[in-house]
Amino acid sequence: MFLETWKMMSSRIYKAVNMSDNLILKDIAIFLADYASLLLGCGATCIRIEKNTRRMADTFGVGFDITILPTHVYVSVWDGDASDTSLAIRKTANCGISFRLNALLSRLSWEVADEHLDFATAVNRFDSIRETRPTGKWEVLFLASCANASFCRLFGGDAVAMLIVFASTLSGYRLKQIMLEDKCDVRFTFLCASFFSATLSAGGHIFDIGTTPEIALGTSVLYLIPGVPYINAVSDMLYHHYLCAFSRFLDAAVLTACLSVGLCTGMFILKLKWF
Amino acid sequence: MSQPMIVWCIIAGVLLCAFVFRAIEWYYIKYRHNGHKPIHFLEMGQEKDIFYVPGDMEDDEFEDL
Repeated sequence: MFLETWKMMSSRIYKAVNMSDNLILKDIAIFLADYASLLLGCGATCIRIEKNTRRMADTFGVGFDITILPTHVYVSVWDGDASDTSLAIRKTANCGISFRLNALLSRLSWEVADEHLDFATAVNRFDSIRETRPTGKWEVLFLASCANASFCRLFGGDAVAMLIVFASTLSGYRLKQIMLEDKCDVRFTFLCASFFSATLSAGGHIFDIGTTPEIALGTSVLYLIPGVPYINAVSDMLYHHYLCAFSRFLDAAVLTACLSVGLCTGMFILKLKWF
Repeated sequence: MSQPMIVWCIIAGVLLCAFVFRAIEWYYIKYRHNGHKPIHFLEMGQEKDIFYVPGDMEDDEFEDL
């Protein structure tokens, strides 16, 4: 009688502990999936996502594996003897490329590993990172225009060409911001922004201003080149993440084609010589 | 004035008008709280605004499909 009661009680205790473990595993899986999803959304490479999430999973003392697809992240977490497993799937966060977010998330993974943060603290810090506000749109607008004018200088443009590129980038980038705020299609947005930037910068040719109007025209749309997806595509390819590499490359190629169409349309309408 | 100059001026004017209208709309939303949305003469909508089938999802999760 005593033995049966003892067995029943120990069975209940075992079940309660097991449920608690399973709950923790589930929480860890959800946290890591959210983390990986945000990291993927803000423009990190697949190898970066793998390393960061594995670093944290090792610190939490759980087995871990991750599958990164272009639009989803699958995270599988298990305990020491793999008797309990938990799976979490998250859609890629739609937050736009952000180096600041990327750096903060990477720092969090190192803080978890080096300072041995407990799970609750890590989740709190992650939540505060998630609420990070993006850089102000006016600052980005001004700095992107300055950067593109600097590109013009790098390619040999004179001061007038730099001024033209600055003005055309300012207008095109503002148009891009407005259209994206209005939830226009990103491809159509790129096409319009490149068309207006190219047309405005062609003013140097049309009104015969400056000595290097062709450089102003060529560099006026460089701010639209999706450089981060191209670089990430190469990185993913090197680390055998072919699906993500191909997806990123195609996304970038489509955007590049759209900006080329906008540029060519502007040149065609203004009857500029192609070569 | 040559034809490219006229075309350039028209395109620049269109862009300028877009920015001016946007600024007016922003001013209207910020300082006129009369509960009415500003009237858009031209607007980009989605096909679900016209072809709405009862049961369609309200969120934009699958807006590209």
